[in-house]
Amino acid sequence: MELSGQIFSWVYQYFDNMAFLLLAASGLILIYGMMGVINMAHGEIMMIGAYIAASAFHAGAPAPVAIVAAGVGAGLAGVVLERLVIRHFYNQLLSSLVVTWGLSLIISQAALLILGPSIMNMPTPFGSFSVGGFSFGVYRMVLFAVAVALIVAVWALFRFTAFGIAARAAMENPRMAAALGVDTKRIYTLTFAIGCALGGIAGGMFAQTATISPFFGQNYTPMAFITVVMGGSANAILGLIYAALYLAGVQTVASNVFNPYVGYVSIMASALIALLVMPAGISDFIQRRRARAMER
Amino acid sequence: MPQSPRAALPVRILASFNGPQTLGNSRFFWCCWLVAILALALLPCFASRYHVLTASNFLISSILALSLCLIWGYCGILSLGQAAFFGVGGYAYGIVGINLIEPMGNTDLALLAGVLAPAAFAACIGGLMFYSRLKGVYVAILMLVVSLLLGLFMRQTADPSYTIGGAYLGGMNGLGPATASDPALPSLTLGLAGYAVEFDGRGRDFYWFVLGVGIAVYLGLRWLVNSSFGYLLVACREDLQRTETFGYDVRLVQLGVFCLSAALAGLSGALYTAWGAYIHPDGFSVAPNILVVIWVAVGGRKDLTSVVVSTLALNAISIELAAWGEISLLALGVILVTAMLAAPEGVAATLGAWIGGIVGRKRAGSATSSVPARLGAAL
Amino acid sequence: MKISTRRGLSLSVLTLGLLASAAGATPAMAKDKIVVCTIDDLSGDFSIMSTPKTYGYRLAVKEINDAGGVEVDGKKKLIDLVQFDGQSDVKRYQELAQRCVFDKEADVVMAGYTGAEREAARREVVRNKTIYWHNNQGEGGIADHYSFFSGPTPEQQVLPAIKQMIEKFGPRMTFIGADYNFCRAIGQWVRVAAGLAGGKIEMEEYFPFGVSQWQATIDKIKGVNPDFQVHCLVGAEQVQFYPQAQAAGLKTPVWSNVTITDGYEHKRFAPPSLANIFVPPGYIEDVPGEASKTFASKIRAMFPETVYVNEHAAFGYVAVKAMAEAWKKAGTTDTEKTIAALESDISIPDAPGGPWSMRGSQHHAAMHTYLFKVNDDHTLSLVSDLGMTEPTFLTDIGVDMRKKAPNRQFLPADNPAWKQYLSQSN
Repeated sequence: MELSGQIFSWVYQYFDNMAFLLLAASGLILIYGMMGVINMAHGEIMMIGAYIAASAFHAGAPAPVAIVAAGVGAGLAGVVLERLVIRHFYNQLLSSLVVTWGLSLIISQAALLILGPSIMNMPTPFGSFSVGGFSFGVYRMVLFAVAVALIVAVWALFRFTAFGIAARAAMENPRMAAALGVDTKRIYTLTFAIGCALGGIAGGMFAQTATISPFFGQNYTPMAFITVVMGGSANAILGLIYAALYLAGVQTVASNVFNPYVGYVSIMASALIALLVMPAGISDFIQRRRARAMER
Repeated sequence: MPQSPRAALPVRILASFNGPQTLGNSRFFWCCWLVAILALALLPCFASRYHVLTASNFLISSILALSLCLIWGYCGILSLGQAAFFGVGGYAYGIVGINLIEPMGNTDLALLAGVLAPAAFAACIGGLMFYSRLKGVYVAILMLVVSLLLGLFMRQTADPSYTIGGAYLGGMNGLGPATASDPALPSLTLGLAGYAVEFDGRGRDFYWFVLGVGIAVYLGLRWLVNSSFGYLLVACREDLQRTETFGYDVRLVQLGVFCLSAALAGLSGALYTAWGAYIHPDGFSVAPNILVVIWVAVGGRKDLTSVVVSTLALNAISIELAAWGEISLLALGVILVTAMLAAPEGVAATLGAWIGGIVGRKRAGSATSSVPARLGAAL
Repeated sequence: MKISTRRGLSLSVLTLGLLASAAGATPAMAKDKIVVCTIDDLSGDFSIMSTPKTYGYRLAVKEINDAGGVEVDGKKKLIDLVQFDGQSDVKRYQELAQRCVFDKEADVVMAGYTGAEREAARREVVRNKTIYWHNNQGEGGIADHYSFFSGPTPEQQVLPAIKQMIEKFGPRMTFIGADYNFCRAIGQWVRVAAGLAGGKIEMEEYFPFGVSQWQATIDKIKGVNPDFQVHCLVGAEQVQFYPQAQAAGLKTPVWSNVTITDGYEHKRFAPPSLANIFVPPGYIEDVPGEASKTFASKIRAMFPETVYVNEHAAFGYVAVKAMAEAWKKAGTTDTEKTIAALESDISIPDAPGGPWSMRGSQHHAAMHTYLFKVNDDHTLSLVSDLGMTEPTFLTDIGVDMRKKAPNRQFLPADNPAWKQYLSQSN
């Protein structure tokens, strides 16, 4: 085993850890960061995506098609949820937490009753490559690439399109936006659906490495939340990236220097410290520092 | 609500529990309250042993729910880690209890540890949080992280070397004696001046004891939130900055109420450990923490009585559902979603305000719109 | 003065709740039925593993009742099976165990999948002097007067299987496992097995639940390059090790006693993620033999939605059958007399996994275990029948449950003869 391989392994793990956080959190930044809803059912949306992707794949669809289908299906599920329930809870963090917890129980248990305890997952594609005597799965890097692509797409959507401008206006000041002719209800529904579609795609991606069961998503939700909240809402997308960079870094270093237990503990502990140092999230912290630097 | 100076003593005492921060300030309410307490006190006379035992557990949960209601409903601090204090209290009781039951013959110190350990812990965490001016969802997530970290630690204490005196932390299998010669987790045994009374968690005496503690906590909190300190709490909830400009040290207020809340949660945890002679690290995970939030939110976080009612009702419902098989959690989910859609500010509080409105209109028909009514309307 | 009446409301809610539960709670008049109370995860995380166990219970009870019931106190009594959903929640197990004991007046309580669930229910059941059964694999060594265990223990799984693995592949092994009681105990047992069979553990590490990124560990294992690996990976995140190891080209054989047997992962992961894993079940539907095939087809006939007939189904079934035998032998459902009957080595010759026999001195059972290999296409092939293994762990350290139950759990470290193996440095 060569040093180059060892060093590459660390880099690989760093990207792998980051991909996990980014994918799990990508849909949540819209729903939490822009709409003030704590969606505890996000993991269940991912589960829906995973089920759709796996079923489509086993029915003969190629994997990319299956994953797009997962996104569409989860997005549609999002529309239904938003119309029926979520719309009553905008900007009520804690009521939304309770109601979406209820939704997550309903969705996962209904899946258990209707679809049975489990289905076959999808095979991990692309094989492996080796660097300096170590071999690595290609798919973990694909995960990272997809995560980055999704985040960039969301950013572009909200930055450049007419929908994005209307959406940001509606988040900033709904009354003013409505007065200017923006259909805020539709905007909210669409934003929530896009958040869910991202969750569905993430679920489809994870379906190729994890077993799929009705409780598939539960394990992603808490970590995704911690990442999103740490990022802060001053600039949700940038915050998420900072948070993922930071947490993945801590985890990679700690689990290689010590062991995965320490890695796991330190990801929590470092989130704790970061929240204490930056009481309104990383993005707010960085914006303020920048503002201060500008003043000087 | 001015009382005439000639008012009878009970009325004057009652007045200190009444005020705009709580629903249910009328004589009619207190009569119903007395009837309810009487019914609860007589429960062991007509219910089976199982129901008494289960009711003890529900009452313990109510104390936990009240502790969250105090900080969330009255001071606006949401903690997603309230179960952490419950767990710390439970473990503290168990560890001290196992070590001291034989030399002391009672669990007085263990119960005290169950209250003080989480309070001290809360003082550390709360100091860090409030003095760095953390607020809102950040406090909530930070407390969840703290709870998860505690859970992570406690789960991996399966190694026999994790002992504190005669107590073995025991990892996922729960706290127990370190060796065969160490005593088991003791029942609640109160000692005073050489006498010791044991309250077996499965018996009536324990139930009555918990009921007494529950009533004391309830009345104590009603007194607190209707005192001038209670107004300060609500001021912090409504506008932290404005309260600060009036010259109050809001950080100290938040820290104080946070410690008090942790102490109550710890008391609840200690009673739970004594009740089942068992404490395990599962209580630190996400679900138990959210469960407390659910009890409080479904009841109505801005009123103590509503929270107690919803905790008792939800506990009864969910244990009943366990007999339904596969659809038990599904049904619980449906209940939660329906409740939150029907009454976003809490089912019990909304219903209470509604009943209060009807009864009040019938009684007086007067035009004086009192504060509780306006609170009811605001709910 | 305004009025509101939340308390009145609370009263009605409470009495309503009490009435509702009281209606269902009236104890059977003088108990004309024998009550078997079971608590299993029908919803939540662990329902995948535990639901088949409830099928085993229902099949056994149906067979016994169809045959007219059990003769106790001079007349035939039917078995009343009361099933609760533990909802994958430890606290719920404690509450439901109380319900079984006090409300349902159960003659026996069978509860729990994980160690935490088991302890929550068991402690409550035994402190109220009721018979308790745990019916899947466990870490063994629990010596309690009221507790019985139908499933295999490390004596039947770890010791014979590791011996075979060493003979087959070589002595050098690595151990990775979830950081909790069961896997910690399995780690000790693996050390003993390695010591007894001349193996060497080159690496031993424990991971918290929820770890899903395994590249660092995979690198480490590759660095060690063992002859085979021993795994105790638990939970949906930890089993992601397998596709990652496959992708990273780590192809050393793996021995695991928590995969396939409980959660039938070979039916849930796309092949070939789990190829080359060796598992030691006491029963799965691939076990050869007439009894095994009959049992699987009976379960499938009764519950067509069954994905895979796992170990839980078989030992749930065996436990109820064994209790019926014990009641018949004792001629009563009296707790002490039933325990005495159970301790007289009750046996089930046609158990699904082959002849099964409770050992009274141990409260654990003698049974067959098997070593299976997962093929590339995720079919299972039998490597060898590990044979009928007697439980002797408690006897070896001087415990005879028929004489005196120490009411505690013993681990390999309690056996002085094994001290040397446990102190082996990694």
